[in-house]
Amino acid sequence: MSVVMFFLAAGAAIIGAIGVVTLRNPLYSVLALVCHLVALAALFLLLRAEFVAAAQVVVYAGAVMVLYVFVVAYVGGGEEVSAGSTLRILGPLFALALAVELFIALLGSALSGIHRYGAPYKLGFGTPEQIGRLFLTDYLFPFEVASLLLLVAAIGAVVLARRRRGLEEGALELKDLLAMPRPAYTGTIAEGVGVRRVREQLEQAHGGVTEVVPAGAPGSEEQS
Amino acid sequence: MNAHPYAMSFLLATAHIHGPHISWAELSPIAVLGVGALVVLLVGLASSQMVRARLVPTLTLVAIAGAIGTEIWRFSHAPQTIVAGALRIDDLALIADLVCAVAAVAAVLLAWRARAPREAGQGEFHSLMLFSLMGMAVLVSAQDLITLFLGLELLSIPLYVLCAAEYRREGSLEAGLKYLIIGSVGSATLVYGLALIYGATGQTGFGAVAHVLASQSGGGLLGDPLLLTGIALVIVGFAFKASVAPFHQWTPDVYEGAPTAITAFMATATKAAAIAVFLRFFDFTLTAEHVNWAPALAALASVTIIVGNVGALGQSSLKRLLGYSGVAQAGYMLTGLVVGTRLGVSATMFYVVAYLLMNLGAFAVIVHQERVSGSDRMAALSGLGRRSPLLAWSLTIAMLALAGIPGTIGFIGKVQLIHSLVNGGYGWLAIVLVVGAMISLGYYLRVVAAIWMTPADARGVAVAGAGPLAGAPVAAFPPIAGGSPEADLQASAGGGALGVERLTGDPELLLVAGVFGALCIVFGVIPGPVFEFVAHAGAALVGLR
Amino acid sequence: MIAFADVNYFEPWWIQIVKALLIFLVIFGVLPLLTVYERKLLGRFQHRYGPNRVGPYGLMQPLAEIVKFARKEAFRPTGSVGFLFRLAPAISILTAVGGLALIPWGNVQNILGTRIGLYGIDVSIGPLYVFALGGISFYGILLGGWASGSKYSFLGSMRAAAQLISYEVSQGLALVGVLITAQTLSLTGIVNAQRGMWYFIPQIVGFLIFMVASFAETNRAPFDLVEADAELVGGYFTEYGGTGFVAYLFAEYVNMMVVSAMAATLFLGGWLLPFGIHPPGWVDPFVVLAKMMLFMTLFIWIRATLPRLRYDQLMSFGWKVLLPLATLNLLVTAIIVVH
Repeated sequence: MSVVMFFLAAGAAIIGAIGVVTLRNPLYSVLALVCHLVALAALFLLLRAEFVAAAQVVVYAGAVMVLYVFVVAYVGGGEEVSAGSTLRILGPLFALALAVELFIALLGSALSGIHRYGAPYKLGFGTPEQIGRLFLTDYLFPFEVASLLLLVAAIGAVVLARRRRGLEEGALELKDLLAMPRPAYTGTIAEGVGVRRVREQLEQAHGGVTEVVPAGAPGSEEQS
Repeated sequence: MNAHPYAMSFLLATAHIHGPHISWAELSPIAVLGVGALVVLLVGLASSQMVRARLVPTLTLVAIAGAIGTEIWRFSHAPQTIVAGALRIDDLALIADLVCAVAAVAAVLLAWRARAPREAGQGEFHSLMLFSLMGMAVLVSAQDLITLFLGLELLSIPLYVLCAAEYRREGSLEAGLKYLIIGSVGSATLVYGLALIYGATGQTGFGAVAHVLASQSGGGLLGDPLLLTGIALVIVGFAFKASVAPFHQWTPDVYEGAPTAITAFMATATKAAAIAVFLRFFDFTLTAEHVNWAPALAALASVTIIVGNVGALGQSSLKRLLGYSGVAQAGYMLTGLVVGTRLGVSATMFYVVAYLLMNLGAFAVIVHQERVSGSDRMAALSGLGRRSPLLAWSLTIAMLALAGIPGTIGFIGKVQLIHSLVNGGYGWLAIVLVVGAMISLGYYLRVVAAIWMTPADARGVAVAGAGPLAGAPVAAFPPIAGGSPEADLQASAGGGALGVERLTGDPELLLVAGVFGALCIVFGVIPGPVFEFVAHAGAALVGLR
Repeated sequence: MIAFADVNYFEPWWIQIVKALLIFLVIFGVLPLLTVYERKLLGRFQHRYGPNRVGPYGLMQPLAEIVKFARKEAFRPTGSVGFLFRLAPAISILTAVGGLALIPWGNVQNILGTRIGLYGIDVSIGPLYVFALGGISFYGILLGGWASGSKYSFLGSMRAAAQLISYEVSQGLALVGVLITAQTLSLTGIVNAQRGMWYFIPQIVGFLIFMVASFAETNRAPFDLVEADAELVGGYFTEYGGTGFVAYLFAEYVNMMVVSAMAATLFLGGWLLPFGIHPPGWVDPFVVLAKMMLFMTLFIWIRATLPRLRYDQLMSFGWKVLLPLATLNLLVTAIIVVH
């Protein structure tokens, strides 16, 4: 029974994870991520980490991902900006190399333990009691720092999102209010992936990049 | 209670729990910052504008001063691991703490009249800065993988927000968003690596990890792909934070877009904290694995030195230039880490101190420049020597020190690094370092030339004649080099404004620029005190040659 | 299942299946009656009769309606997303039913020589289980609104998401006060810990916060902006008819029952009776059911009495009143318990 559950959950987790990166509709991507997270929770449950499983579902599937859905459903997917030619070749190559490395590392260790039994189950393992005890003893300091971290995140969200009633002293200068976006195809990342050539070609053909991609339009940053 | 199977665990839970012993004296440098941040946040809610604009920054300075005081108080005490093994307060941590705290003082001063704190709210701005500083203190003292990660996040998340503090300016938003996304990638990579290291060793404490690695050396874990992958991912994660190439690409954009006071803070303090944790993690925790990670780090360091220095050549924005220069300098600092000796650790920390002194003066001048002319274009520097000699000299000294001209602290720092490299058998890396320093002259001297050699009305010439890589197309299309159009607008419209510039800068800017410029020279001539100071850092890491 | 099964390992596996079926059947037997009850009661509150034509006292009304709903044509709007449109009500009803498993109907009893816990499961994470299910049930509402391809549905589901997240925090914090007092997360443990005093007395603030947040969590009046018919036609289920609609409707009622049962368990002493009355074990489930009915009546009563809130009022009440209050309650409780 537990074996069946494991393969169901593991399969769902992998399919979900693949779905996140391959699905083109951002909302489906988010839903695939939810599927992945819930499947992970099931895996935690199989490991008898009940509290972690519940926290996973409550926090990730229940709160974080709801916000994702919220944003994606409201804003919708913008038009996709295709990567520059260099990036289009190099990106998958690097990803592939990294994937191979991770597979070697993870499978190498995981498969060597496949015929063994896991760690023994101790009464009370994975319960909220035990986790709470760890928070108050061995991991007291990280626990406190984590609470400050959450406070910082809240302050940061307020700073960025609150309604602004203008500066306290002095009016804003006009130049501050004018939107002055970085022109398309500039910035370090653009420099890094070799967009300079694209720019030059565009300049020869159209007399400038900004005519091709109006500044301020979605994706006019150095996504290129 | 019935015969429930969990009855046992309930009983366990209700039994009295003994928390770990907390040694407040050792914890004080971190606790002062945390309390200070909360106080500043609360005071920032006051309705009086006077309180917010003056008292809040003052309180921030007081908090940082308190932290500096406790750090000096704890300095050169016996290292202690506190709060259930979460932190280790030793001299390496305290030196890094002091460097970060000094950077924070300078950043508060630079932000004194800036727009960013007014726009973000004085209380929020300053408390975020204090939280970030606290994160650095946690990070450099971390003695546990979990504390390490939390410290890193506590350092980064306030900075993401602070970068976007000038909310209405698109560059600032861009910087915040870019830093957030790329920083998150870095954090995710790091935590993945930490998880793999935990998986390979079964321990989260640094000491325990080091012990497992040391006891299994000569086979066992050394060839474990899990551990090696973990180390690789951790290197990448740290490299993102320390802006080590090829993970540096956010650096110039973020430095350019962020409010300059924050840029100064990020450039110096974040780098110091990242390098210190690099040192502790690799030269203490993973020291048994030295054979495995040293070549990787050496390669990264040399790539970083070349990429940073070459990238800086074509820049016309001072902040971008310092961004690329920071990348190169991070490469220099990494070299001292690679050798894995006490000498290397001391040399690295020496360079961290030097880097702090060299950069803060330069950033103070940039803040002044932005307030006067509205841009940080190198061309706008022309005539600074006449208008404000103090600032001009300060920037000149900073640039010369960064380039490593003898008589400045930068020279001593580089000599120290080279010494440790040659001693540790990495002579080729020393050569890369020297070559990098030679390339760097190409752009540092351009700044000096822009200050002193260009007449006020010939700014265009300075751009066209910029550096060897900046050929005609760059001059024709400045955005290629990353300069923003607002800078162009300013540069073209600023001609008339030049006449009404104030002759001297704001007093706090002059103070920062003057003090750090002077220190660059003083410690360049008499480096003894700094040597003694950083020698403690090398001694703090046990198990090093 | 295996993961849950070890929690009450003393039962044979088939007992669990029997229990699951029994709980399911009983609840879904009560559910239609509940809809009649609500309509009758609402009628009385509004000085009219309510349904009284089908069967004695109108009791057969739900049967007639079920037949009606089941025979409706299954259509969906052109702009809708097919599989999500079908999946969403299923998520809603599944998560709602899942919550039933947690209700403790009684203590562990000795029936025909086997020890049987009168509850579906008794997990060590207790109420967190309900929150986890609640977290997933968001998606039923969100996807239902989004997949309908209608702006009213979408607005309704967006409101639901914001509202559920906002009030879940307060609800959770209010509940932590009880957990601290009882020093356990097991629901049977919590009930047993209330032998001296039911927790709604020491935890009166937590109780009130929990109830208010529960109204918001179940999208009941006065927090039913999610389905505000004056603005949104019907909210997230505007485009649903037939079985999809019934699924949402039943999910809402099952959620109400679960929340009522949780309130009864956490604050009203579960199956315990006051004044030291110790009835035989078979009475326990009826005690719990009676307490649940008390809360259900409250739900209906409030619906008949209070007007709907405005959206900004809802948000500011949740974040600026309930959340600080719940935090304060938690803090005070923790201080009192420790000392």
